[in-house]
Order: sequence, then structure tokens, then C-alpha cells
Amino acid sequence: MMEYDALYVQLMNSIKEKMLRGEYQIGDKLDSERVMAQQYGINRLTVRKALKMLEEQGFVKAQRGSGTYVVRLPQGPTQLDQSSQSAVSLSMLIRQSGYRSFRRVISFHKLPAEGTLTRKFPGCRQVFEMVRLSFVNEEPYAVQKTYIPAEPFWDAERYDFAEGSLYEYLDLHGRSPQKIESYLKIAFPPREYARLLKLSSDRKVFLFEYLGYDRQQTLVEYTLSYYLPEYTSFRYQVEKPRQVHM
Amino acid sequence: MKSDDIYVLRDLGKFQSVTEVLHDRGLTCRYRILDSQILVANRYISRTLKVPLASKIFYYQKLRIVEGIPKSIEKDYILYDKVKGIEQEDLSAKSFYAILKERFGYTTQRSQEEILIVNASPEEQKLLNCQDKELLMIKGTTYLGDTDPFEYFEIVSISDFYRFRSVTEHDGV
Repeated sequence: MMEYDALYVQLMNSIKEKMLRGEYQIGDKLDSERVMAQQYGINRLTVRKALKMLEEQGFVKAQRGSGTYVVRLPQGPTQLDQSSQSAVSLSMLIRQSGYRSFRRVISFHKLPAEGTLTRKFPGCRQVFEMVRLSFVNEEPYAVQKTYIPAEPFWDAERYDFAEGSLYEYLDLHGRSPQKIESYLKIAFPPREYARLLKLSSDRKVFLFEYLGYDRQQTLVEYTLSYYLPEYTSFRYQVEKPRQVHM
Repeated sequence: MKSDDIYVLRDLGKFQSVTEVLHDRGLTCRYRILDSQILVANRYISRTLKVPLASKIFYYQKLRIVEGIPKSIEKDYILYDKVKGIEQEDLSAKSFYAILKERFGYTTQRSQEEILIVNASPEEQKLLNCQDKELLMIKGTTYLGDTDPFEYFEIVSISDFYRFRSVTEHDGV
């Protein structure tokens, strides 16, 4: 006989899955209880329980009169097989409370793929470059510079990346990232980004480099993100592969 | 070797200690013990290690020196009951995990860690022989099995000493 998780657990897992897939980013506001109850055809109390549990686990924070916001992303799925080791991801955490957040697109244009971009996107003549500035509590906390190949994503100029997520846009084309490679280090940001972040020239930030590959192992997204340390930290888990006994 | 070339790439797909990573890169590493004592767990340590308040804790602090250059200050906290007699060991002679394995048979299986950028204290700047205003901090808890924490540590290092890499794959539903 099949066993099903309680409804609130199913809803929690569904929301966490959306976070893992990038459909919800840090600072994003979840749908209201009423909307979720209608959308999933479940009792509003069940939705409330799921959100309360997510808050206790530290993934969301409810702001009275405003809504429920994502504050931490769950770690990526651990994949174990007999030959490979665990793959775990870096998960970003917003450190300060009061998570009214929004994003602004600073620039968006098409340019020729040259230099590093030629190596990253082989066979691609042009890329779209998008720079976004993220705010929490009206203060800038991150700058993200993203490149996507122009040919497969020919209609990117028509999409509102300030409101919609990049993941959703890539998914519309059936090219959402299935494999993610990321790097993190501490560095000085480029001068123009230090200005956007209202940072003095002697301050360092987290530099997070993200490469997203689709099902065909083709690079579809390359993003460099610069995060202010007073707003962000990163968490991860490393684990010894478990021995499988036959 | 230039100081910029001396760094640890923590590959999150591999379960390796910092000493092992440095060894694989052929970098020499030694330790200077700054402090070592048995103290009582304060509220933070008792919550983190899930032990009663005021439990006896073995605590030590060391300076990691790589290729002759101070790179990080490391603090460690373990319930003393699990490592009785450890205060007699020479902690500067080998890695702490090597001592835990050889003397007590402990091998950690999992580690949960958080990375932050923190302001450097004057003492840290002096120990690390640097004028950097900001340092990298890694706070973490290791586990022997699935449930109870075994060890809590804090590492404060020169900001470019650590880099991190991870690869994840989705099932693609």
C-alpha cells in the first residue's frame, strides 16, 4: 500500500523543490495563504502549518502585514551511487531580518561573444549580458552579472527579469539548468559594482561564480554575483560517501 | 612560492580535511598551539554540541602556518568525556583529526559549515601578520554519525586562503 506524506509536508517539499530549482530566490515573496490554498485545493490551515514549519526550519520568514519571504535556500540534493561521492551545494543565507526585497535591472544588452565568453559559450556569436542589483530593506546587497547565449534565447529582450526569475525564463525554453557548477571566494568587486553597493574601495565581498548547464550539458547561464558580507553568508555540508554493501 | 598561490580549494564533493588538501598540493604545513585547556560549556557551546550547560569541554586554539606563512587561526571544542587524556598529546605534531583517529578511533563522517566575512581583531591581524581589515570565517560542526554533533570549530583565515567549489545535478523531471 502506498503511503503519502501529510498534505502540509507535501506542500513544504513542493516549496523547497521550487527553491532548489531557482524558482524562488532569496528575498522572493511566496504566494499568500489564500492563493496557495486555492491553487492547491487545500485548507488554509494546512498552508499555514506548512509555512510555519518552513519558518521553523529557517527557510522563510513571515513579515506581519507584508507576507512570507524566502531567507535561505535548501542545499542541493545529495546524489549517491557506488562510484561517485556526494554532491552538495553552497546555499546562501541572508543574515539580517526584515526581508522586504526587490531587484532592479541595471543594464541589459546584446554583445558579441569575445574573449572569455567565447570559451564559455563555444559556437555562440552573441550573448545577452544582464546586470541586476538586489535590495533588502531598501539597501543594495548584491550585484549579479549574467550571460546567456543569444541564439537559443532570442526573445530575452521581451522578458521582465526584474519581476520574473531567470530560471523561469530558461525553463520556458526547456533549457533550465540541470547541472550547476559554482565557485565561491572573497574578492574586491569591480569599481563600478562597489559604487552600486555603496562600498568603500578597501572592502571585500563574496564573489560567487555560477555556471548552469542544460540537459545536453550546454552552458545556458554564466553569472558572477557579488554579495555584501553584512547581508550574506554561505552554508554547505560535506559528507563521506556511504559504503553500499551488496 | 607566492603567497597568492597558497590556498585551499574546498571541493564540496570531496570529504577531505584542510591538511589533506594542502598535502595533496605538496604544500608544507605546521601548527603553533596558542591555547589548550579544559573549560566548561557556555550556552552557545552547550546548544551547538547538544551537551548540558557547564559540561567539561576540551578547547584548543592553533595557528596554521603554510609554507612558512601564517594563514589561519583555528579553534576547536569537543566534549572532554569523548577525548579524555587528549591534553597530554602534542597537538602541534600532527593534524587534530589524525590524533582523534589514532588515539580514540574517531573518524568524522559529515560536516556542516557556514562561511562569513568578519572584521579582523588587532590580535588576529598580529597573529596572521597582515593588515587586512576583513578575514574569512568558517564555523562548523562535525558528526561521527547521523545525529549528535561531535566537534564545533571556528576558523579565521586570510581572506584568499580558502576557495570553494561545488557541482550539483538535478534529476531533470
